[in-house]
Amino acid sequence: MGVKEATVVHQYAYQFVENIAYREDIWAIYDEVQRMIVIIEETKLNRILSSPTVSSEDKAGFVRNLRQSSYRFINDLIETLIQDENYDLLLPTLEDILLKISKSKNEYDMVVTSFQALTEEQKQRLTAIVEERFSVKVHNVIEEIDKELLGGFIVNVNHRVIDTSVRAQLGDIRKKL
Amino acid sequence: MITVLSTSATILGNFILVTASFLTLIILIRVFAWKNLTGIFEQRAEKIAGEIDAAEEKNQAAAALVKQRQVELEQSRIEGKKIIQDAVARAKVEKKHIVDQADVEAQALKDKAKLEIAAEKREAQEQLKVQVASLAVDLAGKIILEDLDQAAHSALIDRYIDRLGEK
Repeated sequence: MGVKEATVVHQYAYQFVENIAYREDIWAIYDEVQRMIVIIEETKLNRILSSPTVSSEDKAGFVRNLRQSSYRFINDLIETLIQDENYDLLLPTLEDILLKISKSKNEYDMVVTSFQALTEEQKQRLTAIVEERFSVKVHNVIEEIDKELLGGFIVNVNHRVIDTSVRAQLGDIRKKL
Repeated sequence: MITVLSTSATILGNFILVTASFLTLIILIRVFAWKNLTGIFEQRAEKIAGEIDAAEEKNQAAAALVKQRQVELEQSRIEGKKIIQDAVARAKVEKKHIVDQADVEAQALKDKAKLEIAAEKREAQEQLKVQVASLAVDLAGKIILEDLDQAAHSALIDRYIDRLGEK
């Protein structure tokens, strides 16, 4: 993504967050945006929206299928993107919206990648430690399983990482050897 | 008798006449033609003498030329000998130079080969070290995977969370 596109994405996201900043249901909107991102990533819709071989009409049709949110702000944003024919900026705009909401509230999603699923108690303890250490609030705990870690876990909050995985520790040992 | 005398007188008269005529002829030749006759002989003699002189001069010139050629030939021989000696001397110097240069190049190649061998040896040792370390770490990973069950993994996670809380 070039500087021009990044600027446009910032403007869309900034405008959106400005409109919902003082709403009480801001986290519900956040979750709705997050669900849309999951749908786009799972269906690989962004590839179609970025493809030069797909016509604008088809892209508009695909995007309008997403425009069924219960939140007017989200539907308006999608319609604006359609009107501007900035279909390929949909996913980066939604991701930027999540980031901006998190920043405005100092509340972020915590991504925990582990060898096996953490228990609820472990997640709570980890959340408390991360909130204290990084001085942030944790909104959602997103769990990912990766057997390549061999053990332990990796925590990622607002681009800050705690890596306790066995793989990383073995890597350190390898370097020392 | 008289006849004999008359005949003798006739012979004598003829003789005197012939002798006088001969003498007259001789005198006439000496007076009028002698110079011409002797002039021709003198001219021939002078010509022959001139030719003999010219031949002698040519002989002398040829002898001088022969001598000059002999001198030049001798000089040429000396120069040729000198050129050969110089060429031999130069060849010796060149040979020494080539041999010295070859020695230097051979030594340089030898040194370079030694350095390359040493570098390759070091690289091989490093690679071996890395491979051994990788094998050891991979083995450790496999052992951890095989030996740790779900409860052990959960305990490991708890331990890491405890450590994070302590820091």
